[in-house]
Amino acid sequence: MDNKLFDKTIEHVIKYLNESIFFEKYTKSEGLLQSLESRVKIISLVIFIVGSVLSKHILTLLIFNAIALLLAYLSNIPMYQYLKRVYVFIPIFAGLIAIPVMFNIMTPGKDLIVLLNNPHISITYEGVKYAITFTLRVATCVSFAVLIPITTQWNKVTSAMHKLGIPEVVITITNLAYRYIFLLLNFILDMMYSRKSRAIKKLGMVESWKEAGKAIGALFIKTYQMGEETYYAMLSRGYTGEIKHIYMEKITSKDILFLAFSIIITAILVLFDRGVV
Amino acid sequence: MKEIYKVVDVSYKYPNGSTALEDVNLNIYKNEIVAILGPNGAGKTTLLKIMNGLVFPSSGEIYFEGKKLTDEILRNKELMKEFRRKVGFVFQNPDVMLFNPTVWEEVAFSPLHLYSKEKAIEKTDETLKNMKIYHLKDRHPYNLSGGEKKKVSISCILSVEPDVILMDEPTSALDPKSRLEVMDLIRSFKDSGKTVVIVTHDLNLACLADRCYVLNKKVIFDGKVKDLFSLNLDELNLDVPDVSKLFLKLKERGYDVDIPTTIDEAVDYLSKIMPQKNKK
Ligand SMILES: Nc1ncnc2c1ncn2[C@@H]1O[C@H](COP(=O)(O)OP(=O)(O)OP(=O)(O)O)[C@@H](O)[C@H]1O
Ligand SMILES: [Mg+2]
Repeated sequence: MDNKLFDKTIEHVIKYLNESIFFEKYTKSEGLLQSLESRVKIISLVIFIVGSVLSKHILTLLIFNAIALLLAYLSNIPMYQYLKRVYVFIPIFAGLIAIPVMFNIMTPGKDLIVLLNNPHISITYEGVKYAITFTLRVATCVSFAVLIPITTQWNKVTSAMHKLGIPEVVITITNLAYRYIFLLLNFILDMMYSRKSRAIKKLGMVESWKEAGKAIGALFIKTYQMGEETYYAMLSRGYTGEIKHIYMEKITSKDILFLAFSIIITAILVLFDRGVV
Repeated sequence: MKEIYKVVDVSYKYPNGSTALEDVNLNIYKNEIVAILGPNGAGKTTLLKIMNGLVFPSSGEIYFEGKKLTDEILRNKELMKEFRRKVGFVFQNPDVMLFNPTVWEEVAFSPLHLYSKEKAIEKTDETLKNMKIYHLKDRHPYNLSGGEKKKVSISCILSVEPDVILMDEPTSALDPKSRLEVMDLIRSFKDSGKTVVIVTHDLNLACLADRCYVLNKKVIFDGKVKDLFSLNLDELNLDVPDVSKLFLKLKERGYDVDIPTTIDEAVDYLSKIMPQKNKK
C-alpha cells in the first residue's frame, strides 16, 4: 500500500484551502464590489443568496449564477481563480448529498438507468433533475457567498457584522474560527513534514492510520492549549468580554443604487421562477 | 526605590497536579531590568502569568505597587483597566497573541479597550511607525515571519505605553540583527523609566539586566548577572556566551581572570594585559 499519494493529496488540499480562504489579493484591487460599503455589499449578496435558495427552476438558477459571474468580472477577479474557489466546495457539500437523491428509492419517477432488476434499483429522470437543481442551487449560493471574503478584508467583514447588530459572541467565534482554521491547517502541514522528515522506513497501512490517530490527538491538545493561552493573551491586553471595533466606512448613493438593484433583480427573478411574471 | 512587585512565598500547582512554583520570593523595583533565568519547565512562564494577574497563586501572596493582586481586584473594571494599562505582557509564543484579522487591529486591540477611539487610532499608528512595521499594517498577522510576529506582539503592548513590561523569551526565534534590535529596545525602555522583567535562557540578553533570579521551581540564585559564574552553569542549562566559556576555562586552569560576557568586555580586558605589537 503506497500512502505517498495519500500524503501528497492532503498536502495539496491543505495548501489549496489555505490559499482559497486566506487569499487577500483581490480585496485591494479596484473593482465594483471592492468600492462598495461593506454592510451594503454583505446585505446585497445575502439577498441574492436568499433569491437563489427560493428558486426552483434550473433556468432561474442559471441566471443567478450568471449575475454572480458578472459581479466577479466587474470586480476584476480572474475567472479561473474565482471558479476554482467556488468549485472546490461544491463537490464536498452538494455532490455527496445529491448522489443518493438520484435513485428511485429517494426520488421515484421515470427510470433513466436501471441498475438492478430485483429489487428494482434505478436512477430516475426526476432524481437526476432534482440532483442537478440542488447542486446548482448550492453552487449559486456559494458563488455569491465567496464574493464576500474575496472582495472584503476580513476585518471589514467582522466590523460590518458588528454594525449589523450580529451578537458579539458570534463575531468572536467566527473570528477565532477563521484564525484557528489557518493555524490548524498549518499545524497539520508542519506535522506531516516533520513526520516525513523523521520517517526512516515506510509505514504500512495500519501503522500510518495509527500515526494519523496520534496526530489528531496532538492536534486536539494543541488547539485546547492555544485556546487557553489566547484567552489569557486577550485578558492581558484589557479584554473584558466585548471586542471594540472601528468602523470608518460611509454609505454613498452608489451603495444605495446597488442595494436597490439587488432587491429589484432578485424580486423579478423569484417572481419569474414562480411563474408570476 | 519604589517597589513594583513583591512576591511572597508563592507556590503554584496546575490542576493536573504538576507543581510549577514552590515558595518563590522576589522583589522588583521601579526602573530596574530584572532577568529571570532557568531551565525548561522551571516555572518562569507561570511566574509571569501570576505577575500579570492571569492566574493566582495556590498559596502565598503577590503585591503590585503595594496592592495585593487577587481575583476580586481584577474583577473591578476600573482597577483592572488601570492594571492592564500599566503592565504589558509579551507572551513566549507570539501566535497566541495574534488573534485579530490585521496587524493594525492587533496593535489597536489594547488601546481600543483602554482609551478613547481617537487616541487609540493615533497611538496605534505611532507605535507601528516607531517599531518600523507600518508597512505590515494591513497584513494578516498569521502569515508573517517569526521575527515579524515577535515585533508585532511587542508593538501590541507598547501601544498603551505600559510602565512595567513582562517579556517571555523576547529573543527566541529572532535572527542576530532582530535580536540586537530587541536588546536596544529593552535598553530604551529603561531609559524612559520603565520597569522590565525578562525571562530568558540567553545570558547575552540577561547581561542587560541590573539583577537576575535563577528559578527552578524555587529561587536558587538572586544577585548580579556576573556573580552567576560562580554557580555550576552546566546544571542550570543556560546559554552561556562563548567568550565567557573561554574565560571560565582559563579560570579553571588557575588563571586569575574576570569573566566577561561580551566580546567588547573581553577585548577591553585583554588589551589591558597584553602588550601591543607596534607600540615601542
Ligand atoms: N497548562 C498547564 N497544565 C499543566 N501543567 C503545566 C501547564 N503549563 C505548564 N505546566 C507545567 O508547569 C511547569 C512549569 O511550566 P512553565 O511553562 O512555567 O515553565 P517555563 O519555565 O516557562 O519553561 P520554558 O523554558 O520551557 O518556557 C512545567 O513542569 C510544566 O509541565
Ligand atoms: Mg516558558
